[in-house]
Amino acid sequence: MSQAGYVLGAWGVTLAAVGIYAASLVVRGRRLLRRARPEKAG
Amino acid sequence: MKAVDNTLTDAADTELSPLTPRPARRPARTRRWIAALVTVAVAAGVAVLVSNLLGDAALFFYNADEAVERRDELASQRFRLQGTPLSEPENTFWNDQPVLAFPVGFDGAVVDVVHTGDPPELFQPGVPVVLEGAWRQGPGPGPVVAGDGWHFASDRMLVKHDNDYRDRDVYDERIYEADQGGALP
Amino acid sequence: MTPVGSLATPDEALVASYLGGPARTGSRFTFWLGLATLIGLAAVAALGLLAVPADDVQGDTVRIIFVHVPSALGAYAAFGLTALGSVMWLWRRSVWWDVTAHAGAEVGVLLCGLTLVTGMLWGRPTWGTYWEWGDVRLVTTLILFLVMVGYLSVRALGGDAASVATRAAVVGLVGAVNIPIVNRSVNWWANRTLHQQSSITDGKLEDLTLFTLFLAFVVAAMAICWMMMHRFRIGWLERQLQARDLHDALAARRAEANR
Repeated sequence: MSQAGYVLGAWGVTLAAVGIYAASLVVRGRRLLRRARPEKAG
Repeated sequence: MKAVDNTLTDAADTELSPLTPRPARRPARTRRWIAALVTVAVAAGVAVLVSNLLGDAALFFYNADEAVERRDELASQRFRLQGTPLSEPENTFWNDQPVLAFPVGFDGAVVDVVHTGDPPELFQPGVPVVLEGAWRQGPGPGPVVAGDGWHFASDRMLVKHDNDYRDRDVYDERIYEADQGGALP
Repeated sequence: MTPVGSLATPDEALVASYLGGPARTGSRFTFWLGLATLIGLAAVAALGLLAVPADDVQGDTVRIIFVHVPSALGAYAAFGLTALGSVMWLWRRSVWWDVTAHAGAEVGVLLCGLTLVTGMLWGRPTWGTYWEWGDVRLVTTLILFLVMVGYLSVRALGGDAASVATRAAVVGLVGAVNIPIVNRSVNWWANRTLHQQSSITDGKLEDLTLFTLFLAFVVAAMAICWMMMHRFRIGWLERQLQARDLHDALAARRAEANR
């Protein structure tokens, strides 16, 4: 692999992981709040 | 539980019953098993790593001067040696094998190295390396700098980059410094 | 910052406050914080990938420090919050701090994992190896990572909330003991690691490289704040829902008994 490959790999992994985690937080939050609403959950 | 739910709830949808556990993506029991397995695996992994660190495997390298000092004690044992290449390597042959011959230095000590195998890309004079191999008696095939009747035969090389980041302008300066290092004893 | 502070209000208040509100854990503050983080990230990428000069020895791989070093410091900070939260749970039985500790562990595991991966991707072209088992810096970092994965798995084992928090807090503190060891390992055992010592404290970075690295720290700090706030709200909401479910279940049982 060329040097650029390692650099882009490291940046790519970091941005992708943080992005996916951030998105998962938003989704988890929405799911919980849907449960918290009385008309939709217990 | 389910039967109780139905009797208790007026709503048509039994999912709304407070007694019904909220549906999880995986059954709670499976998730707990996974968590238990992960916990055990992690504990075992940490134990192995810690004992490894506290044991002999943790000694990563001797600096060139220490390696010279401990030559008798090390005998033909394999170990790792750290030093800074003092000049461009000489491509030559040793026992019909292509090798790189170059001196490395650390804190005033110089060691003649005969390395078999490809060096890492960054290998160059002035950038410290860690070499894996053993002491051999007799001079190597390349330039004799140390001149103490020994050479270090290595077959694995790692570059130990220091914390000195410079842009390319400073390259010549670094080579100059390395050359100065080459003028050691 | 009020949203986080307001979450500390006792029990049912939070769920109630969300019932009429938007169906998300974001607030106006986290929206702007997130936006600023994205802009900052673009700036760091432009500087770090294009503007900063290549290193004389490392060449372009030096650009990996802009993700590696902020990840590492971010992991220390997040695990530091886990340690603080663990102490506050054990000392004061503070649920707020317990939730913070959990959030810190999750964010920290992410960042610590990224530190390991980006470090390996830097190590291969620089040192000539992805990983060395005898290297103290590498192995202590892996231990820190594993202990904090253990923290999360202990929490996932389940049980009643208080004993889960106590067990996890002990693991969290064990992990935290490792933070200074990881950080100082390059100085304490200089002949046991390939890893260089701190480049920043020794002033060995070029001006633009240093500026970009500091900008990357700021952006990483903002990203971590954003993730911590969202993760905290999730944790807090989970607690509230558990409490409510328990309350509902008790009420139902009582109704059952009264029949």
